[in-house]
Amino acid sequence: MVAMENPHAHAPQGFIRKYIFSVDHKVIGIQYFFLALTAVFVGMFLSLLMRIHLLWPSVNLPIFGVIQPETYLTLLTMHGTIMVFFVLTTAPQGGFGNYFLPIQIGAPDMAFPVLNMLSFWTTFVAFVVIIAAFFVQGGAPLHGWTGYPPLSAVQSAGPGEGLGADLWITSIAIFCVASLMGALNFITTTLDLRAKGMTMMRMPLTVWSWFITAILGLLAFGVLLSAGILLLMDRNLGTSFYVPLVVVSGQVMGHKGGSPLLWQHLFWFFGHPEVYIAILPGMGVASQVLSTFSRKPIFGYRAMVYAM
Amino acid sequence: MGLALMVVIWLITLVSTYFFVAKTWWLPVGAAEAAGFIDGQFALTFVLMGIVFLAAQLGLGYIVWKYRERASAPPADYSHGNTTLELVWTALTAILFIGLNLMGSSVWASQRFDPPAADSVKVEVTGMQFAWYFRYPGPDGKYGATSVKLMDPSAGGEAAVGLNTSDPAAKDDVVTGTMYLPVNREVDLSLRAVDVIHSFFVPSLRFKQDAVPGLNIHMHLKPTVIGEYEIACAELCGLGHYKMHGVVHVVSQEDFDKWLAAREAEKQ
Repeated sequence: MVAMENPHAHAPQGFIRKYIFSVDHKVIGIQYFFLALTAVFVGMFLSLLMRIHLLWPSVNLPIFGVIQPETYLTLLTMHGTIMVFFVLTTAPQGGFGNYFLPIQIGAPDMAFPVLNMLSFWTTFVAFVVIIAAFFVQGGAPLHGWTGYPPLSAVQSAGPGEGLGADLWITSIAIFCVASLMGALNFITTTLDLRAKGMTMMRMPLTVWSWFITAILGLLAFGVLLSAGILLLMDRNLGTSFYVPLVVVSGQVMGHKGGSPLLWQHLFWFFGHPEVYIAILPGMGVASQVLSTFSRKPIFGYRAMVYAM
Repeated sequence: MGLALMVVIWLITLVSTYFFVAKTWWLPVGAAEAAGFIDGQFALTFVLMGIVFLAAQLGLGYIVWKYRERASAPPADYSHGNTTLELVWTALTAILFIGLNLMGSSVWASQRFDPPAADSVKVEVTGMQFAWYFRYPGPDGKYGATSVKLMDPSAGGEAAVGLNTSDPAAKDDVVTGTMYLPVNREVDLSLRAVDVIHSFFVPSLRFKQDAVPGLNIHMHLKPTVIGEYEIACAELCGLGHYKMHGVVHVVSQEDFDKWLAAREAEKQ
């Protein structure tokens, strides 16, 4: 029936095409979900180490030894980054959004299935890169999840600010690329692939929340991507976007005239929408679940849409 | 089940409200002129938000119980919304939010944009990994020149802030590792950083401002109670961030003059 004339319907394929490099939105949604689940366990483990350190500051842990101040800051940085990017941004949008959005608007799949697959696997690469930061010389960075320069821009500003920090920024840049691809897909799908009769003002609030989140992501991640590239250039190519004349560890650095505040402006151009990117899908789901289980229409649907 | 849920919601609400009402964890004593206003604003925000919080949570618990699933439940009443109600609560929230912001902005702005009083004490605060240094301009009232190229944090004191000792205005500059301030006199602060961003945070003086490399940030405050207060760094600045402490001694004008004179004498 519908599936027969559907250009997006996929015939059963081999294991790899079906479950690994799948272009099916449901499989990709589940992949995103499991990536976020893995990330949440890594993030929780890091916070567990922090809590253990706070309770017993000098305890000698197997494998990790005694947690040093710089290790604590590394845990804090990596916990924050992994949770914000790979859990809060990934699960509600990439996971639930990919799985349910096409179903809820009556679309056969996302508008660009191959792009969808690419955005998941790019996110996966970003996750591998950030985890790699733990294992390089100097370890993971300690500049906090907001990565304020000069701390994050000067290699000698602290342990972990060498290759670890480069990997951290690279991972975020890759994540931005993946999120931009995802955002394009969500926006196009919502605008172009709605079933007949599914007008914008009839869409479930969940769809609205994923749609608005995608627009926010499109605006925010592009800026963060360029900010990250500038930071990488400051670190490795001797530019001075973010670093003025500073003395770090007794050495006059070669930078001149940069502004640490520039990073804050660019970062928070991402950071402010990011809180909505993280919460809007949750609010959409809460509205939808409440409305469904109380068997009533959403109270003030239009107001909710305009509020978003 | 509806009853149990209501009890749980109400318990969580009331227990969390208790901690604020009983002030189980609260601010340290406010020892600066702005503290009265800041604490008042803080309390007002908590009271207003507390009322909204209590009303919303207690209401939620009640509704959960009242409209629980029952065999004898009346037929459902379908509603798509109530525009008046929505406009009213959106407007009220907006007024509350914007009003609180406007109230707070005057004190925030006065510390930054108004010029300090004519008789204010000038102090320059310099943050570096992982210490604070304080510079007093001395009897001439003028800071001597500094240069980033002369900064040597490991040497401490004048060298750490990069004081150019060949500048005549620098001859009477005093650089210390502890901060002394006279009570009831305005302090004209200049905030600088050597290496990375730090934040000069004195909870008792209700003062917090980033010190940013490349910028010289001016703010003023007026300590009003004699005592010793802790200075902390409030911007993650590296592996020693946790121990980047300092002490500010707020003393009488007499003691302050004596202390400063002793430092000047040491310098000669």
